[in-house]
Amino acid sequence: MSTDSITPTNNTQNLSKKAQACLAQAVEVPSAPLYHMGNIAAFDSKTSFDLLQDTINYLTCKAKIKMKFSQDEKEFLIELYESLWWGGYAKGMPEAAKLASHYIKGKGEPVSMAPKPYQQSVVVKDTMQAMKLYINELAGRKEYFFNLKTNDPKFRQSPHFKPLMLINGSRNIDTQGYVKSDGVIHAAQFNQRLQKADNRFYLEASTEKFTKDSFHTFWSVNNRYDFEPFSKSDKISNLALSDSKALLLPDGLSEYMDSGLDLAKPFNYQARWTEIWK
Amino acid sequence: MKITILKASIIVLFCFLITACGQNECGFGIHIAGDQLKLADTINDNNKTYYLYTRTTGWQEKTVFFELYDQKPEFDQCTYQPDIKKLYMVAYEDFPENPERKHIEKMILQPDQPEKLKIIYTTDKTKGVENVYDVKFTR
Repeated sequence: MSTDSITPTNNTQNLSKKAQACLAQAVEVPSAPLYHMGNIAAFDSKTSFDLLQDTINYLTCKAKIKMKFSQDEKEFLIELYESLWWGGYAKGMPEAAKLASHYIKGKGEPVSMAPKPYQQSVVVKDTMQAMKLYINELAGRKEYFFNLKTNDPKFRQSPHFKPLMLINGSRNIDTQGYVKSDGVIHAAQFNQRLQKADNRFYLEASTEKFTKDSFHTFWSVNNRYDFEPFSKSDKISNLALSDSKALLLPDGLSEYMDSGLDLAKPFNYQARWTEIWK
Repeated sequence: MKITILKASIIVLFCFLITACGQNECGFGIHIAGDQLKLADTINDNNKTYYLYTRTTGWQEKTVFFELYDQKPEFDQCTYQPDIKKLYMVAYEDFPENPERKHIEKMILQPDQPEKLKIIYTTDKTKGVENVYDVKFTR
């Protein structure tokens, strides 16, 4: 008997064992996760916390072996994401809340995002300044300057790029953010509004001459909202609902809402703003 | 119709609970999708114990940082910030868009250098640690 004929049987047996192990963790899916999350936030309820976390663990187990989800289980996941929208919006994270909501409601359509969190970011301001100096130089030399992205090799080799990089503590990761050698901008970690909406991104500049001495630049960030599958990562989001209780939501489960359940869709998002400068 | 009213009522109650009645100041929502902190390893060097932590930040696009301390820190439950100053912080240089995923081959402690954590990467899975959360000090 060849090993080819053994493997599928073993795989089936393994899957069956895993499915049984998942079913052994089965819980009654709560019909109102929003209520339970509020109950934890306000009253530190252990009952509500255990109920939600046990449900997430059970659904994670099922997702990992691609078991079918019931309608109640699907609705639980949708409500979980809806609760993030309400919570994020109520607490001053409108961009992150909007993106999370669009993941389950947007059907994969592109969406625009308010530019304010980028415009207020220290590292974005520093990067814009460095790009403007570089564009000015290119224009002075009558070289092409119309489109520039932070991953542009010549820009990264220019002296304007170096102060943006993190070299042995040259920039403060928490308060300033930094740009990686490949041109990816990393948001300052204390800038929670941007960090939760867009932790890292490229900045693009489309520039034209405005007057003899000034330029008009269309700044933009173009990125994609998606999650890593279980196979690539075991990253988890830590949803702190009270001082002592945080729900753990695996990124793989968020990804499975798209790939396995068709409840969510990854999408492209863009933020744009303009500036006239000298 | 009844279901819609019930759901709306729950949402109103939920908003009330998270904004008005909370016992804690941590708040609720994506902004408290808090950092994840894990003690990765400890090492003794010149009669001093060093602590290596991983900090995972962000929501859909996460970044993993390594943080180095020379005492065991306590982290605030709301802000996830340490009660002592960290010696060093560096990002894990591996992102999903990177076609050649890199793995950490060595994590070298050098407390007397400006670069207090020297990380050596490899693309060879057999030489490096595949899971960032399994990284230890090189001894």
